[in-house]
Amino acid sequence: MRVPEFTQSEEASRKTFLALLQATSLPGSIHQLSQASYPENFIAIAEALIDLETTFFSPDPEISQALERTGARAVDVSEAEYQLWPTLRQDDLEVIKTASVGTMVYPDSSASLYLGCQLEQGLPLLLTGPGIDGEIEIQVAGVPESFWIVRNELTSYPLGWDVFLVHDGQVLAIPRSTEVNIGPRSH
Amino acid sequence: MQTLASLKKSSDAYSFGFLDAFAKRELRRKILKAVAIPGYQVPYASREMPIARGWGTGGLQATLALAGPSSKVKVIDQGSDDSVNAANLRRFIARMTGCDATRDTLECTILQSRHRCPEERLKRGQVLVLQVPDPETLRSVEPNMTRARLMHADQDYGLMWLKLYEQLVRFGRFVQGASYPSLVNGRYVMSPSPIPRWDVPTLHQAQHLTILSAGREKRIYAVPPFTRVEPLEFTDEFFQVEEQSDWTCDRTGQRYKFMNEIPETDGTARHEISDTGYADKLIQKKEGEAVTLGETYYDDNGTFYHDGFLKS
Repeated sequence: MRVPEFTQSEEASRKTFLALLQATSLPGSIHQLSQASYPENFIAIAEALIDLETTFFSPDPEISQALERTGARAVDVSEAEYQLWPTLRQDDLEVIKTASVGTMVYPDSSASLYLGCQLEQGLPLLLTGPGIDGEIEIQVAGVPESFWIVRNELTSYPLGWDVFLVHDGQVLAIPRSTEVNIGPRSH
Repeated sequence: MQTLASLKKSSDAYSFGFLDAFAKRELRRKILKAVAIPGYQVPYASREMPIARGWGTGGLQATLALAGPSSKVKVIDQGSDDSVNAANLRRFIARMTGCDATRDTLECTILQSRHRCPEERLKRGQVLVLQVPDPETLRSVEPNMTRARLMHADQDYGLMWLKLYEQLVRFGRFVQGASYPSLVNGRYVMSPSPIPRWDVPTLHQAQHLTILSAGREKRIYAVPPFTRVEPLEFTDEFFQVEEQSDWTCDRTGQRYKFMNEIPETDGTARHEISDTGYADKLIQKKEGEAVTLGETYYDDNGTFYHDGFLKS
């Protein structure tokens, strides 16, 4: 009995997806993607998830160009379901604010934001919610602090963004169900 | 002469995991959304599978989106590894993904199940895939799907409470056996699929991820680890699991595990542990084989492992 071929692209997509799945089900924990450096890490995420049934946005010309072959439509931030931001600057906040948080009837129509960052350094965030046993403290650098303020203001569960923090080959998820407290654990 | 074998397409002519790339990506997108919004039913396309809708196509698609050569897959049907449905699904998944099959709950990475959760506790990293015939818990009180969706949006579960109240008034207890409505993460009421009430608490603050997938109804939803799953109950009338405390398993002599009731010709009944993988291990252990028994959700006195979650 021969098994259908497990091609390289199948293998990469599956590995990427399992990392995203474990990350989403255990927010705050770090998982390994199939590609370890920019821009291949973002492109691998896109190839695992998006195709001509979806829309995307990326300010990064290299990623946008690579994504064209997936058949997904490049649209504005306010419409894009999948958004890949290798670097998010303070100036981008006014734009990213317009990303969809979904509707009460279809909360799954919200945007998923993939943000480049450095994990385990910088701003401490305290996370609680589904998938977290009690609470977990993480550290993120390279994402403006005010992004988290905007994120918290716009999140009104079940509405909100699913945020994925990408640091080279590592990913950490903060879905909308997670409560984010800015600053370290208070003792 | 043409034979059945010569007409059959070779299995390596299929895509890996049977599903084509578009189907797999769509399922994966929807699974991520489902985990991000615990208990919310995410619509998905649900492809044609080589089994009929209603026979586990939802669970099968979710499993195929997850499984690969590194996976160990266990499939059960009402607790049994050996029923026709479970055996065929297991063989199909193994053929299409090259994964290993197992009967041991502790070993598996993916456990696909029709209508049971295992007795042994699942751990972090394991995924329970439940086949769901009817995902819409509100259907019995609101047959219109569009209105039911609005009720979920409004968190309007009054009719659900009324249904349970009427059961109390008419019968003196909750008579909902399987698919007991449960509040997930304090927001969405979901059907936990037709698992017995015995199994519903095992989804609460669990270590593992649960994915519930309804192929015919084209809905997928999930319960992440460490998430509140609260069976609906009143402050003075509590949710109860099945009363089987005076039943003893015929094969293993165990009590306080979920049992199958097997009617005898003389009108009496025998009982057997429904989770055959667990029962087999108990027997092997008795016979001196080296098997590892995991910790169970209910201990040997029938006490659930989360203290105080089940009230009496």
